[in-house]
Amino acid sequence: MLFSSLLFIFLFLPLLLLIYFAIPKKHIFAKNITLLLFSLIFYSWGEPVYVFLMIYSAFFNYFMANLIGQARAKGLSGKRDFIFTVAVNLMILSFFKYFGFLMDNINNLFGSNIGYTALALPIGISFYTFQALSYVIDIYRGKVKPQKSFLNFALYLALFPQLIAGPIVNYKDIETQLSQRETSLQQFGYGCQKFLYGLSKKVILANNLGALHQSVISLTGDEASVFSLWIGIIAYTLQLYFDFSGYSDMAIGLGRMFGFKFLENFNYPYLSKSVTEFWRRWHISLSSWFREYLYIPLGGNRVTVTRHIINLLIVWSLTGLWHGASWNFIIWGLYYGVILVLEKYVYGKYLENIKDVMKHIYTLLIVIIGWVFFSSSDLGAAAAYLKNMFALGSLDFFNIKTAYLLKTNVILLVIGWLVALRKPLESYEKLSMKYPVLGVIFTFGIFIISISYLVFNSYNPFLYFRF
Amino acid sequence: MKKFSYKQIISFLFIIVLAFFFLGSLFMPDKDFSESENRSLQEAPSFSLGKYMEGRFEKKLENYVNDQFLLRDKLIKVKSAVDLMSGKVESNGVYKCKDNYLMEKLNAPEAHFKNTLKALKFFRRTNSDLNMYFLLAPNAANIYADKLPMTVTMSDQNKHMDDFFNEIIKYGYNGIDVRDKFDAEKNSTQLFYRTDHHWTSNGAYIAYKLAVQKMDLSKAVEYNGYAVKKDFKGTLYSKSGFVNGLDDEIKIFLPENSKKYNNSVIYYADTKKKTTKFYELDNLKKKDAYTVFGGSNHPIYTIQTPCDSKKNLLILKDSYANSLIPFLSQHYRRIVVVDPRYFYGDIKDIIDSNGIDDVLFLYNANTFFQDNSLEMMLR
Repeated sequence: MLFSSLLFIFLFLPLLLLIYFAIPKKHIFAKNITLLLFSLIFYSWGEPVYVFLMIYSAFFNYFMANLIGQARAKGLSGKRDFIFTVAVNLMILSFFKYFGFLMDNINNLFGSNIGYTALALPIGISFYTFQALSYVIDIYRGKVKPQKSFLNFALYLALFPQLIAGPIVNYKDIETQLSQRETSLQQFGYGCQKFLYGLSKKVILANNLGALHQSVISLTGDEASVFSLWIGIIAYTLQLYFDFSGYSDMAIGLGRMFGFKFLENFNYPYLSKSVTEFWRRWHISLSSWFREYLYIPLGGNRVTVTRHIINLLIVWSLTGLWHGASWNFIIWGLYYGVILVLEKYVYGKYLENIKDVMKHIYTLLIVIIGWVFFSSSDLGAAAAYLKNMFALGSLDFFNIKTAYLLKTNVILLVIGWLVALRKPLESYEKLSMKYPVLGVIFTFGIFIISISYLVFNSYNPFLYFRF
Repeated sequence: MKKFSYKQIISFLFIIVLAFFFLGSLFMPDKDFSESENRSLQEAPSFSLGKYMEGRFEKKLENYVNDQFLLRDKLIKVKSAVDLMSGKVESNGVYKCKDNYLMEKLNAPEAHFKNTLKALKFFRRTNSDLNMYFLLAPNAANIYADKLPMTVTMSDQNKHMDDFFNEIIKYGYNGIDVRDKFDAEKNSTQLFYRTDHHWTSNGAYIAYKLAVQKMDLSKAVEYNGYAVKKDFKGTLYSKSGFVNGLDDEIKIFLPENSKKYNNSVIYYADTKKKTTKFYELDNLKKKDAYTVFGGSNHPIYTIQTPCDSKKNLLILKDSYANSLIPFLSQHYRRIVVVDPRYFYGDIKDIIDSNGIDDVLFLYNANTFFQDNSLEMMLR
């Protein structure tokens, strides 16, 4: 199920809220059961088979973590069980996510033609596998105690707000909230506000920007222009941010309605003044997961320069691979690895001395070029797009299509740009604190507009049109 | 009175909106048909574990919630209004143009179009004793290109039409090209509906007069137009969801001199209905009011008219023909009308058993360039 659907907002959510808040406060067990059941329905919606894989993962990690915990309590290391658990988790993930990619590469490399059936990717498997790993690793390191209640652990793994697209919540961050959490009207209101911001980001901004990017991608060779390609990739840059951060906002908001406090996942990434800073502001839960559970165990930066560079490249190619099973993503990850190494060891100190504007331009340029790889279907398409973007192809600089795209989307792009900045949002927040009426009208407005876009998605006129 | 904090007020707002649509959609009786979308709406699905595991229940419930959503039509309008405010001019392939016109994107011929050309060539060659005419009508966005929003560009329909006419003239067809006439009259007469993709009766009438010349028929009969519906909202209105300030007028044309006019008998083979009326005035109340012209889709029907002519005509057509066909009745003893998109019989039999002398193809360019039913039929 998707948050941005009428079904979720106006059937699933009201039913869950009704049942959840009808249960008296003291019955946290019943509340958790309700949340878990609804989460399983949420996950299984439309494609129920893989819910069993997730339940299996919950069982497996719950029992293995207990074994490791018991071993540690006896003064043993539990290392074998730990390695086994991590390996099984990674194998399941690899089997579903990377098997097809691996076979394609083997076939390509050896010119063989081994047939295989690639399975559909279970939704959210990359997220919940990482959550389970955070739990098992922290048990092994003695940072948290094993969860006694299977219900609570299953709820941690399957909790619907962050289940299918993050943020990746580390077990230690919500350990206590699983068994005791506060809800209040104030907190609930915060959650609603956050959810509605996220919904509007996704439905009003991201979807329309996505359509703009699509229309640029589908321009034919003689319709395209250098400027149009820039409009396209800028639209994509904003789309990706609003899509992803919108989803995170909705997740955080929904969590808050039920008393869970998830950490922020985005912090105005496009305001960054260096690529290093960008990755502290973009998809924070993923980069901190990699930092904590891979980069630091590898030795972090407290090693020789060569080893540090190798560490960075390992972490970043895996970060790329995590995003999807294709060479595009690996290249995209390595690209960031290389740039971070360069910032650290080559030109970082010069970067500090230039004007802020130049820092922003430098960072955005690197990020935008990165998104070209991210958005393209294959490396060839990415290379062609980049070539034309920098006027190395035979395209005109500007044409009538460019004028059309600009004219029909300039307002969208400007609003997108304003929302991606911090100041306009902050001044709006201040204003709505001072004049609540204004805030209420605005919130109501974006809610209704979001609903109208969702309704239009299902608007499907059958026309006597071909007659 | 207790004063609520801003966040608490937002809570109330959220809960009220959720409750409004949740309860509203729950208690409002379900609709089974959408007028504006012209389709059946999803009804409440029944649950079974089997259907759930296959994902069928989920899909249906999702459609059900979407289709039966409270204030659905109003919300579509909100969306369109927001789009227009933000500078958008296009929705579902329909452009919002000057003077309250909605116009559809023009299509270039698709790859399979060359099969249609081959089929036309073959048909001409195997029926060399018949006179064959092809009336390919242009579309609104071509004739009224000056009304398109600034910077909108489209496929060059004039070029595609020129190419097409040149090609079929080589095969031995007589082209009937109404573009010059339309260009001459486009400012004084409304040739296309504002909210529908068809030409108006005025447009069809001009095309008829040209056809009379090109097809060498007896003198054209004079008609006068009478408005029978003034609040017509057509396909483009539905398709785009754009709120348009102006409704359309549907006119039907009646003969100036009814004494000299011969009434026809029309026989619809699919419904086995016989009538003397070309216009189904009851359909004006329906959503698809364009069906006033001969009703909905008929695979084949026959028009017999006791006029002076001894000739029989076969028309192969799309819906543009519907408003023009009545005019032709006075020039042929018998007209057989076939819509290749719904007719699966043998066209050779039709020609032989009806003693056909002339064949008229009547299409609008936009539909025709994407059509593939002719190639099936003519082979």
